[in-house]
Amino acid sequence: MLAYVVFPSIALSQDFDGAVLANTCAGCHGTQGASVDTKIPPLAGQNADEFVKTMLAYRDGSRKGTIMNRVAKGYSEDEIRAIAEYFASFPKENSE
Amino acid sequence: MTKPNRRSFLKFLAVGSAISSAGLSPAKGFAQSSAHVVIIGGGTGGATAAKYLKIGDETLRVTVIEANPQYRRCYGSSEVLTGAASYDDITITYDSLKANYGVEFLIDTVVAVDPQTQMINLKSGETVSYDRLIVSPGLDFIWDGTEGYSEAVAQGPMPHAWKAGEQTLLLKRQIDAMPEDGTMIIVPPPDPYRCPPGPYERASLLAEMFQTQKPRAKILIFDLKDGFAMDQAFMLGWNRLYGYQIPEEKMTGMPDDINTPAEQGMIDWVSGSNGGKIVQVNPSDMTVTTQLGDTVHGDVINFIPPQKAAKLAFDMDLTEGNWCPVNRVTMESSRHKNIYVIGDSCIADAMPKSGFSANSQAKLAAVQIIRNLRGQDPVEPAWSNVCFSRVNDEYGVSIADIFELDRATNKIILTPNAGGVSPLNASHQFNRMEALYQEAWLENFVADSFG
Repeated sequence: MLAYVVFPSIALSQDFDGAVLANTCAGCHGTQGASVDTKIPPLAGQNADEFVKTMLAYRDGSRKGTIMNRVAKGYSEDEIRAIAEYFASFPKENSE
Repeated sequence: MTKPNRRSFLKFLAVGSAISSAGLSPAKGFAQSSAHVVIIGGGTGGATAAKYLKIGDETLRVTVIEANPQYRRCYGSSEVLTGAASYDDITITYDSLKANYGVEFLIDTVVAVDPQTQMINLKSGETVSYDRLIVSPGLDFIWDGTEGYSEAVAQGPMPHAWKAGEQTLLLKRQIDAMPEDGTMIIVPPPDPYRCPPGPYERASLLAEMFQTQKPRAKILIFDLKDGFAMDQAFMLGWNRLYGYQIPEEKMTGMPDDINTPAEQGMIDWVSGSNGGKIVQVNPSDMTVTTQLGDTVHGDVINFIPPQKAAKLAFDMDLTEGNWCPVNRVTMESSRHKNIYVIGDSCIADAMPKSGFSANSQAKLAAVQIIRNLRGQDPVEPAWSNVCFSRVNDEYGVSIADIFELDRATNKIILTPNAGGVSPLNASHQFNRMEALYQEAWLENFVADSFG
């Protein structure tokens, strides 16, 4: 099962928190990105740059999805980067 | 904090005996110095909060107080009505939260909470003290307002099946016994209510089942509203699958290839403007009467009553009007310090009352409580709500919303220019994919909350 992971410590000056933002993904993509039914892809251990690229492509419509085009528009590029780094910090095995 | 008053020692149930001071033995294996976060209510909000508190800080002691040893989830419970899912399928245990996360459970009922001393009295006589308290009590029904309707009516001839459990089974029995050419009436509640697309998804799934099992059956939806969550997406699906005539006022943006049936199909939706508001029910002859005075017979009547915060929230002095005001950044009650309210009972502005919203609010509360206990400032909040519904087994629709705090009003708003409902010009393949995602969403969501 999942290892206990303490939220990465957050500088107070930061406007937002990658964990808080990433938690908005976890309802569908699984706790810490560890999807159980992988028809919705796991995000744990995904390369951060790839994640950002994919989300930006969903956001500008150059990549077609179903729900993700609508979802991606809800986040700024900085927020997407913070989410990407959060999920990248977890091992891929969590999803397998 | 409005008024920490002396009404604050709130006794909800008449308990004859003096309150036991026995308390709870300190849990073994937890640092004695670590804070104790107590959660009242083991539904989706409470379970998610417990899990994410332990993920965030495993040294915390987290205790859930819940009346029932198992949870029956509402999402996916209309599938029990149709037979597509079993009662066991919607039953969730707390085993994973206990075994994998070390969450403690007390199967008990809260009798009194003192926000000053931060003590909770339980029906069993035990007392529990908390450093922070999360209240996730769900909702209760408003029984009055419709002539002829009462709690007793709901428990017999006209079940709501809007809290999963015995009600689900009661309504299922009535649907199963309905004649092949019978009429089922669904009366959705006024806003705000739990699971806004729920009544319409229920109609969809029942229509799918009736098509094979009771092909001459009708489903009449009497609504006091003129629109509902994902209404056009549902109506388009009904048109394609169940011969639904889309009303003129909902035609904007509909694709060119919609069907134009000569008469109304299996589902009919009567809007508020067309007299859909039900003002009276008569259980003895199984009829409902509309605002315009039309009396209509239903072989099965699924009347879903108006809703308000659960009684516990009122007893704890957490409500203003029918719901609980909170600090939107943290979900802390604006009435009592160190008490957080999440889920259906809380006022969350643009967020619908849904399991997904409760889960999202729970995660935020967990993060903010941990920070608060560490003396850190709260972080910028974020929330989401995603709901997939099936119009039939191979046709799904979805709503996805991202929320943020509006600094000007201190309210939760939809993040502008984002989110929304499945487009009406979506391909067949798109809706097919969304039906597949519905299945995965349900499984992953249950796992995120309880697993």
